[in-house]
Amino acid sequence: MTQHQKSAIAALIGTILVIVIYGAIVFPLYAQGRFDGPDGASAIGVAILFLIGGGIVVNIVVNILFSILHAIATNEPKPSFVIDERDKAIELRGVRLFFIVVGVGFVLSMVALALDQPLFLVFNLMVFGFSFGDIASNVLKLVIHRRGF
Amino acid sequence: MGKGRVSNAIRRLRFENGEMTQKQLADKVGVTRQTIIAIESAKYAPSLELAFLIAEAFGRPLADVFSFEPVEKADKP
Repeated sequence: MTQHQKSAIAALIGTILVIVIYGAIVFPLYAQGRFDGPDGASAIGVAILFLIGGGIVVNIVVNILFSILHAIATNEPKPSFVIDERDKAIELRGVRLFFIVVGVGFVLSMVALALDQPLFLVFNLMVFGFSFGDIASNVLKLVIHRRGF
Repeated sequence: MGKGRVSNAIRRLRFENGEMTQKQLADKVGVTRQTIIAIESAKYAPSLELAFLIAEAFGRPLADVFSFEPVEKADKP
């Protein structure tokens, strides 16, 4: 397994973990009405800032843990950290899909805004757009790696 | 793109160079073994720079390692 594949798997696990934790924390708070009223917008901002910060930390930790566990499981004596031109070409395809999904999320959030939906829904459509974009791009990278390119 | 296929003689040249492994070739040219596998099975067409590096690793001119077949020709049985 190349370093690029390992990074994609770790990013996939990290993103799924982060979005599940975010959903488990934020949706009960929404049900309690914590994102309503005049302070609702700032509460959404705080939640998203925590998501970004937490997301970075979780992804770093998952990446390190995955690398260690993979090295132990495969008993690789000298793991390769080479990222070559094919990895970069695959990365580019992943980035392209990421932006397509993020774009769809952004358009949906604007539709929600136009339809006078709550700000919580508008911002979370963007958040989930980013998350699904990341998941889709990493899945695509892994598929291309396996199928050939 | 898609107007032809880049085929190669890497497998044969590795054999002729003392059964050089894919990993050894990959290390020589600075790519991953998976990239060598993809090139060898014609699933990935390398950049011009990488193609020259591979040819250099075998001490052969580029044309001895890679060849281009236009689609019409490549599709014929």
